[in-house]
Amino acid sequence: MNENDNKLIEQFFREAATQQVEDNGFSQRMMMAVNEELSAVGRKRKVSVQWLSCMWTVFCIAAALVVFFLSQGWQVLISYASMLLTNVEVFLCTVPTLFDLSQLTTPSILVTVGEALLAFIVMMILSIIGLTRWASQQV
Amino acid sequence: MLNITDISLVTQVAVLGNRRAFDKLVVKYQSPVRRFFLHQTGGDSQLSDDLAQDTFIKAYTNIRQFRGTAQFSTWLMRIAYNVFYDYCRKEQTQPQPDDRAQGIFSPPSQGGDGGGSLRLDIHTALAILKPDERTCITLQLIDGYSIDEIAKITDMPQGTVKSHLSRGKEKLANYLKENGYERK
Repeated sequence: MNENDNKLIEQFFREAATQQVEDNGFSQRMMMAVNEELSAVGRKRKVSVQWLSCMWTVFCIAAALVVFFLSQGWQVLISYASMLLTNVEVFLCTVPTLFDLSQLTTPSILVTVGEALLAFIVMMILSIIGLTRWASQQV
Repeated sequence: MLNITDISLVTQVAVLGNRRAFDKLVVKYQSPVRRFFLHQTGGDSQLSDDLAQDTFIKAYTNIRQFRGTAQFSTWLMRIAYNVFYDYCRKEQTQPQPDDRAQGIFSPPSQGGDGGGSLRLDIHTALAILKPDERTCITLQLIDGYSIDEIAKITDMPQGTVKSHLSRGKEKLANYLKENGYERK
């Protein structure tokens, strides 16, 4: 290789070096391909997130069951159930005294009954509002 | 020296996900990237466009890995070279009747899409080179990269790049002399 050979090669490639490839819609097609690629990546990510969410739910349920059995959770359930039954029994035994008009003369009992009635009315109103909203959303 | 416009556009793509900024990069670099593939594939424009598309998609999805230590064009050409290398490797795993030493380079034919005598001559001349020699020669003489940049793009030692360039130029000089280019 001598200086003339180098010049010859440089001269040969000189025009090619200045040659530009026309776009001819390549950039537009390219950006469409990028958008498709991103949509595909987004779909894959969504599927993987759903899969992870499902796996996490399964894991939590399994962990909760393990903790429940290890800490003998059924005993707590049994104690709560017996307590609830006792409360219901006491309530049923004391219901007749609420309708004993002679005891209503006591101011403290009147206040208690009034509060209970007020709470009942408020609960009813709130329930009606909630049901109305739910019904309107369904429509 | 780093190109501030490129850095600004890359930042907009990487940080803000601005696709218009990437579109500007595509418009700016589509010509050198497609030209690189055209020279590597012997002027196969369809294949060149497909490879260029793969290159830009890879550049977009990995743009956060661009650290700005080199020119964006060098980084992009490195991706282009890797895309081409992967394509050649994939093609060579399939049985081909052609000479493997020529890679996927299809020598130009007179009846092809041509594009002028200049392009035909260059592709014919490049066909006599081995793939690595062709890559180094086109990167230096057509795309204007230095030996250091070619070494970064191709991940070859500088000494290997120099020897590819030397052998390639010698073959080309002989070819041009044999075909009477010396007198033009």
